[in-house]
Amino acid sequence: MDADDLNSRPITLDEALAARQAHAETHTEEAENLLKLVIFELAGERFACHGERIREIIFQAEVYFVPGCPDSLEGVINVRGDITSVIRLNDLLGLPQAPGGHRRSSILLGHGNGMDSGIRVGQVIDVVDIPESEIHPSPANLPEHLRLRMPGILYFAGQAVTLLDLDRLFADYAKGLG
Amino acid sequence: MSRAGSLPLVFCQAAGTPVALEARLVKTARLAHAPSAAEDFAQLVGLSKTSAHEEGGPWQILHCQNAGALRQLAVHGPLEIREQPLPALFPLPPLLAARCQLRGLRALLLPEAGKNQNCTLIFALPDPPEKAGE
Repeated sequence: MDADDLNSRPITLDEALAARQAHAETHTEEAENLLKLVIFELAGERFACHGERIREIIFQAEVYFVPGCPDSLEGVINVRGDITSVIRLNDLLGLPQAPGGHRRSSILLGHGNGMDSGIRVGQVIDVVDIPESEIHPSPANLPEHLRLRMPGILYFAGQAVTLLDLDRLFADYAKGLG
Repeated sequence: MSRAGSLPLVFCQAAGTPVALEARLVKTARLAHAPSAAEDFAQLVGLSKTSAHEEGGPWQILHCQNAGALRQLAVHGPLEIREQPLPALFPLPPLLAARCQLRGLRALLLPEAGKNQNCTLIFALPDPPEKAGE
């Protein structure tokens, strides 16, 4: 049966059910391609991390300074009896420090390249499901080291959001490249 | 002697920062007016003084033994030996371990919540500078 047949005569119940089933399957496939993203603000720009890489969002924590570390490593925090480092994402991406300090900032507990760390970011905007097809490759004119850390770009609420690769960010940082 | 579930540590100060060493490594300690021939522990591990740091108490010379070698390390007091419960000792988080420049830093001890103090840096005995450069 082709489209012309359907248009030229009334549709049967079987055909209607089959069409509905096909529609449901299509939507199931689309749902499988949804990506959960944590979208946040940093230095006036918007960024996102894969939700599967973020274990928790912490809005307030006492950060303990550890000497001998680069400025980009803010210190350590105690998360329910375990400690994790806190790195400043703006330093890793070459962005200026947010005005007003940590008043509206958050710490994302991230996992990448087999390592856990807190990531100091600005305000968390939203946690959303985005179809994978809405993520576009980052601009080709971006320097390669940044393109690897920021592999994608998407538009959310009318604004460009840069997708970050935590595996790459953490691996680069551990090698002293951040 | 250590109790099960705790580790005896010698607590002191280096470059104004609270530090600790395993007590089994420290054989004796004596008060001194100056570090004299002893190695400055702060320099040895790479801790630098800042204007915000105070030196702490008087010099203390720790006589340490590790792998058969006797070392004299100069630190600042007050000196304290304390059994530390193991759950309070934290291994270094991986990114911190990768990026921290302090030689011999092995673990951290956090202050009690709300005490607004620095964390204590727990060190293994680092190699002497000439050996470390080999």
